[in-house]
Amino acid sequence: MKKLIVSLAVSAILLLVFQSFVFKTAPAPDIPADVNEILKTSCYGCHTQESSSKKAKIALNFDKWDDYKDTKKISKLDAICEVISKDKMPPEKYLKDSPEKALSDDQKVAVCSWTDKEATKLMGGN
Amino acid sequence: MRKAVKIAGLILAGAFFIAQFIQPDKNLQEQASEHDLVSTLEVPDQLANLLKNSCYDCHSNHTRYPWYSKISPLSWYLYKHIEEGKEALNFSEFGLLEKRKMISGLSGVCELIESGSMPLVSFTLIHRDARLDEDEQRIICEWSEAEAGKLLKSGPGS
Repeated sequence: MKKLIVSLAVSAILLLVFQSFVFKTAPAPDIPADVNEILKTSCYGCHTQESSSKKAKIALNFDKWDDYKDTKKISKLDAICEVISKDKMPPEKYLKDSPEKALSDDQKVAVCSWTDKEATKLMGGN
Repeated sequence: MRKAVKIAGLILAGAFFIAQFIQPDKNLQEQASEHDLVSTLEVPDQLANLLKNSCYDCHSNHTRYPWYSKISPLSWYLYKHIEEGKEALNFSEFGLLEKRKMISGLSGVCELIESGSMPLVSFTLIHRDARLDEDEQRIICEWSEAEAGKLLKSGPGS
């Protein structure tokens, strides 16, 4: 009996740990793997719940994506494409220390075609 | 030493004088445009007045210039701000935007006002009456969110 309780408790704890791990690494909407990789490298550092930058989280928090209204999602998707295309994001001062986080032109295209597709979907088109 | 100060002063004064002849274009198109926000969406009068008072100086084709706006280099500074403001969102040309851009714009209006990023502090420092209190922020947000929602519901068309 004791054994059973212990093993149940252990598996419950393991499950919780596993869950929090899974939720941490899989935020937001329908993101193709390649785009998710880009976002992970260049964006999630500041734009997720664990970020220490309040400003970045207020502007866009991928962990809160599901709480956003559709209108806000559309606005955010278009803004994502805009700021990376204009090199406003990732911020220059952040890239100084981590130049590998800069987006290549191909990566920008990949992100923008994803944001455009998602926004179009939300608008009710296909 | 005193001579150097004098010369530097003269050069500065000269530069300031010459700068007055270099004036950027003024943002002064007619106030009512057929594509203006108020002709495009349902905008109650109170709201239109709020937006005109707190936003339109930089986000429309018509700026109410104060007297000192004629003085360089201040005029250059204002010019740059107005250009940037209009690029981000121009209420005078709101009706020309795609529906999706309208939604983004409206969603951004609420967000920036709520977070206090807009109107710019550099603007409200001088234009004290352009500051938005909490009630006014709420009124604008409720309206812009509602309008954005209506646009979204009306389908994907332009």
